[in-house]
Parts: sequence; structure tokens; C-alpha cells
Amino acid sequence: MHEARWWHRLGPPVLIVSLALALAGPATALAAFQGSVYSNITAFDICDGTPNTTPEKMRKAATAAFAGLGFATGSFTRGDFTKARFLERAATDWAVYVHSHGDFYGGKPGFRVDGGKCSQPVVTSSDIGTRRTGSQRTNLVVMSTCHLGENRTANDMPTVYAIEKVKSGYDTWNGPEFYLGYVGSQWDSDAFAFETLFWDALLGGASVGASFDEALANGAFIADFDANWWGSYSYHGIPGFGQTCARCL
Amino acid sequence: MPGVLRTAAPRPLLAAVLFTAALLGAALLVGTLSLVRPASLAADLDRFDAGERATERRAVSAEVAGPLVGRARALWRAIGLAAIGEPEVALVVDRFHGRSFHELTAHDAQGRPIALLRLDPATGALASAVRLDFRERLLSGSTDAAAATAVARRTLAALGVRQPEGAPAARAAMNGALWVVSWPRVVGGVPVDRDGTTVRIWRSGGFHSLTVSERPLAAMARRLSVEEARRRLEALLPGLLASGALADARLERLDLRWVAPNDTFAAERADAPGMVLRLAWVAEFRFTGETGERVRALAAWIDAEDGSLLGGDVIR
Repeated sequence: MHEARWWHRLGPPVLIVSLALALAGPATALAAFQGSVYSNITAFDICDGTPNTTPEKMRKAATAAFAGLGFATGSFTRGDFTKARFLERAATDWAVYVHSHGDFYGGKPGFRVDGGKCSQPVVTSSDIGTRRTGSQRTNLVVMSTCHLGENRTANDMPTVYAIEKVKSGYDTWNGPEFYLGYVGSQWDSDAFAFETLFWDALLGGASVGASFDEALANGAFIADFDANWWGSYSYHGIPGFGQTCARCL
Repeated sequence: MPGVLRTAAPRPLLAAVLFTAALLGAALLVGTLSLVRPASLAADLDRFDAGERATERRAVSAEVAGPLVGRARALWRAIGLAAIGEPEVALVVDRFHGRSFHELTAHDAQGRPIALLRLDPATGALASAVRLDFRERLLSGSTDAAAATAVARRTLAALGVRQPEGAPAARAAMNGALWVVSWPRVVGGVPVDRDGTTVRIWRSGGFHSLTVSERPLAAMARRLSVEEARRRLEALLPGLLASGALADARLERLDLRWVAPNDTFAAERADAPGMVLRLAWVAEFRFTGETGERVRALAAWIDAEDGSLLGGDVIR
């Protein structure tokens, strides 16, 4: 009998377990903070005959940003961006991005889903509210649509995501939360430029509020371009209940 | 002998390590290959693609940074920021807009960024300045359009920015939180799309930001008449709008503007606007009916020199 070494028996299982833990650890941690990115492409390409590239660019940019921030990100368009899919994920979303047609429907803020067809149903804040508890926290919500950044009493889109409609400044803290939307009707090229600069600043380490301000100052926009935010200016977009960055409050 | 071999190199462990290494190697090879573009696209290697970082930051030498810091301190004093520590200086390559800046960042005592400004590396001209230390008190106050315009004019003077010609427009933004005072750029009587000088003032009267955008314009050998532009538009429309959408469309305007060509109707182009603006006939449609439930407006930009489609825009 040859001399038995400990690694003969333990080596393979230890290696397998180590590899599994190494891979599963980050995946498990990320999975705790789900991000969802939705973009309505069909409204143009099929329904209106316009081969329009912008919705896909918006989707790619938001997906890369959410993933870069650390959210376990799913990205949905065409037949995958349905009302059922959106509401199913809404219950566990920590970050949400929607690029579509937005408006107030029956007095409620909402947007049209894609679904791969032209008869596109609407998702309103009331629909989302049925899937979430009032205090269920969300980190980051970006409504890249017309109107949903307006400060009307009826605009409860931030509040269904438990983001208060207040602007907490550099010397205050309202939790790790931020809501971004547009005021009035905005051209896609402005929204794309603004979001590109916003994501870039955020991924570069700026806070969400500073990223918003940098995007406004460093872009070239039409004179009446108008975006708005609520939440914590000094939040850094990091998933979870708190944050660990050195410069955060 | 087998026992000796196992002792020297435990087979199960070795096999597992080799297998893992092979997998990692294959993944590395595939990943590397996926980053390699064909030679035919070599000229596009620097172009911006959505999802990539829009900027790159590069270090600058102390010789370059020194004078910039002195100038930045003076500019920051002009917008009410004093006693700032050593600012951070970088050369920022803005891949989205295809231009570069010297960027200076001011920090507070805790190391948090509180202001940023960008200077043209060639001319030293101020391209943008923004304060990043928002506090809730900036939302109080009752600054009106006239007062905001006066503050904007004083700010331009204090920052040494040339007062643009013409009267500015003052517009309330962010639901009344911010005044946007803008002097749109006009060249030869033709508006330059999204260019000009803009000063943003909080409701309190405090400074938010300044933007000066003056992008290069292309030399145009000839100019299509409005009749030629209309005929060109009619030829392009079937490729832009399905018949149902056409029935819901109303041509709102057809006028000249300088625009940055884009990829709105041409996926093969870069995901960023062109760096040199071209003169275009801009046709803007608004929609009603079923189409209007998904799309509010569409703009098609027709090159005023050769009639080609330069790009366009959409409001959802």
C-alpha cells in the first residue's frame, strides 16, 4: 500500500467547493439587489415604420450602468418587455430603468410596454403599487419617458418605489435612493446625451446628484430640455441598504 | 512506482487544476478574440458605442497643471467658492462629443467634490463650470426671470465669458427649482442646434452651472432651396414612416438649422452625434390618433447641400 496523502482524498472536493464558493459568493450577493432595464423598440420599428436606433442605445447604456454599479441586471425589450414581466419583477426590483412613451393615464403616471406589438398596454404607478409594500426600499429609478419627472401631486411614481419626493442636499441624507425623470416632452437625442453623461459620471465615482448636475453642465441640449430628480444628492448608486464609499455621508 | 508518481503529483488534484486552467484559458482566448475588430473597422476603434464609458481621464504634468490651478481658483472665487484645497487636474477625453478638456475638480475638507470646471486645452476658454454641493436652501427664495437674467449676466462677466449678442431667454426648469437663462447660437441668421451659452441659477439666486457650446460648422458649397428640400423629404418619407403613421402625421415645420449628424435612422453610424455640424433642412412632424399614443414627434434632418438624410430625432 502506498502512503496515503491528505490531498488524495480531500484535494478534489476542496477544489470543487472552493471554485463553487468563489463563483457563487458574488452571484449570491448580487442577486440580492435586482435591477431591471426596459426599452420600447417596437413602437417605432414595426408600428410606425421608422428604423429608430435610440431605444436600443438607451437600453445598452442603462444595462451597462446598472451592472457596473453592482445590480444583478436583467434587460428586456420587444416581446420580453410585457406588462406581466414588468409587474412580476417589480416586486423585487432595487433598480428600474424604463425608456418608452410616458404620460398620465386616468390621472396616474405610467408608460407603455413594448410586448412586440403595436397595441401596447400601459403600466401605471397603481399597477406597480399592487406589487410592492409601501415601505419596500428601492435604490435607483430612472423613468426615461416624457412627463414622469413632473412635480404634480398626481405623480406618485417615485413614492410607489418608496422614494420620497424631496431633494436631500449635500448636508442631509434621505437614504440610498434616487429618482430621475423628465419634465414635459423631451427629444430622444437629448435624453440619450444626458443619460450617457449621467451614467459616465456615476460610474466614475460621482454621487447621483453630482452626476445629474455634471450631465446638465457638460452636454449640449435644446433650450427647453428639462430633467428632474428626487432622493439623496450624495447617494452613489451602490445597491443595498447603505453604502460603503469613503466620500459618502 | 504508481505510488511514487501519486506522491509526487497527486493525479485527481492535478487533473482538476489542469481542467480549470484549460477552461480559464479558453475563456481568456474567447474574450480576447471578441475584443479584436476586423482591420476594416480599425478607423472606428475610437468611436463611441452605447454602454461604454463616455470619458477617459489622463494625468497632466505639473507644468501644465500649475497655471490651470491658478486660473481655476480665480473662477471659483467668482462663483462664491473660496478657500479650496489643492484641486484635482486631468485631461478629460470626451469620447461622446469627440473633444477634450482640462478638467479641474475642487473638493471640500472631507474630500468630496464640490465644483468642477472644464477649459479648452487649446484656447483656455471656459467650456463649463458647475457647483456640485447642492443644499436644500438653494430651493428657497423667489428669484424671478428678470432677476435670474441679471444674475446670469453678472456671472458671465465675473467668469470672463463674452456676453453673447441678443436677448437671452429665461425659463423655469425642474418644476421651478432652477432658472435656465440661455443665449442660443445663431450663425448667419440660422440657429445652431443645441449650441449657445447657458447659465443655470437656483431659485435662491445661487449659481448652478454655466455651459458654453460652440461646435465647429462644416463649409457648405451650395444650399438646397426649400422646394428642393420638400421634394427630397417626400422621397424619403416612405422609408421613415409606415402608411398608418403617415396618416397621423402633420408637418409642423421645415426650416434651416445647423445640426450634428446622428445615427437615429442609420444603425451603422457611431452611437454619438457628429463632431462637425452641417446645415440641414429640418422637417418636424407631430402625431395624433393611434400613432400619437406611442410617438409624439419625429424630426428628419436633410443635408442642405446634398439632400442626404443626416439623422433626426424622436419624442416618445
